[in-house]
Amino acid sequence: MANQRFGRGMNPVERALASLRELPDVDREAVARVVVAAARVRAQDAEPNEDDLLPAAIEPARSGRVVAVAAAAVILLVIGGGAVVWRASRPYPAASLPSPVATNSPSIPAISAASRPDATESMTIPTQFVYDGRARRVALVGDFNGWDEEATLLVREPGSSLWSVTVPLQRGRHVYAFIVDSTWTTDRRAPTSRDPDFGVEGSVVIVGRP
Amino acid sequence: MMKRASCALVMLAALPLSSLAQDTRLDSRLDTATRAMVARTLDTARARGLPVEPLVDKALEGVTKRAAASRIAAAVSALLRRLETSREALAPDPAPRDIVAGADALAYGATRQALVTMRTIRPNGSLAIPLAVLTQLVASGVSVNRATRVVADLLKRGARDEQLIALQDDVRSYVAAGASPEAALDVRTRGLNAVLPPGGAASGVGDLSSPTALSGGTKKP
Repeated sequence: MANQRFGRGMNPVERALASLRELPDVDREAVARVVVAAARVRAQDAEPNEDDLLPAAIEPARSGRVVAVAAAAVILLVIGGGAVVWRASRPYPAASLPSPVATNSPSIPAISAASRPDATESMTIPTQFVYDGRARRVALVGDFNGWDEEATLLVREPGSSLWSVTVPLQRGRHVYAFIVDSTWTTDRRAPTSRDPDFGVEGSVVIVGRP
Repeated sequence: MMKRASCALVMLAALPLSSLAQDTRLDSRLDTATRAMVARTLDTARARGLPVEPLVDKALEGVTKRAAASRIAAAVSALLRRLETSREALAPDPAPRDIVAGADALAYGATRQALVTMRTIRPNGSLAIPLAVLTQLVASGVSVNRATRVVADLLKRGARDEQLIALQDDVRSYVAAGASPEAALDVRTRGLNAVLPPGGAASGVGDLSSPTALSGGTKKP
């Protein structure tokens, strides 16, 4: 049946692709959960060549767990439209995972930290953002969370007007803003940055070592 | 089972990413026309081995800032060009974060040659922080030439990233308190110079004061 459907005349690569296209859709939350789980395993198994996706997965002497992770990765590559490869090769692995993971999972930064000789250079650093003012809802948007108004919400300190959230950030310069009750608001205690592309000023934080 | 999974992985890795990677964030937040324009730029970036995530972020930034579709597409294309220039200037093997930091600096008026100079001074370590500080000094109102020269000189003398960040923070504070950006930078640079070894030791950076090397002008944000 499978042979009929995928065609005997195809070469192995075409046949594999055809079979993979047959896989059903999976909801995004489930994909995100599996990505995080796979990432944790990768972090535990981190080796000097962690940047390379394949070596650890195809080494024959590896344990069954590695095979399971590899199989999960194959499935994710198809159902997630290549998200696994893309995320593993991108410079900011932790910050752009779905927000609850990025802000609540301190183990994720270890993936990048273990992957390069200059481990501390790649490490993410918990960075706190504070907004002071009356509001019903305060969200943080920036180049670390896909500028997603739903991704990172600040929590109000009971009995005060202070709102805060802590986010793991890569070392370097980051642009951000608060969305206060649907209004774009810069952080008045941080430097601002002009925006040559869209003309909307943001705030800036430069993250160094912890 | 193991063989089959490994085989499938190898075959998938051999595929061009553009045929697999469709960022769901773009799908849900960009209209069809804009998504198509941005997708073409992303494909170009992948084909050239440039980091794709900053381009996705730029598109999403435009959406959040309610920018017009044409402006989003133009911004993503412009960033692609800056990333390419940055990677080339920071050769031979810059980390993605360095490429992005270089692209940011270019957006603020830093020259390609300024990036080359930074790489010459620090051939192996990350340049993300020095380039970030350079960018932010310019954003604070310091001229591109002056900011580039100061950061390069401090790097040459072994200034640590944390010292550069502190310098930038202080300059910003002084400017906020009313000082001129250049004066604030001069004052803080003198303070930092006092704790650093004398400069001029690094080779290959003699062009720092050359007007042709640092021709970014005095463009301000």
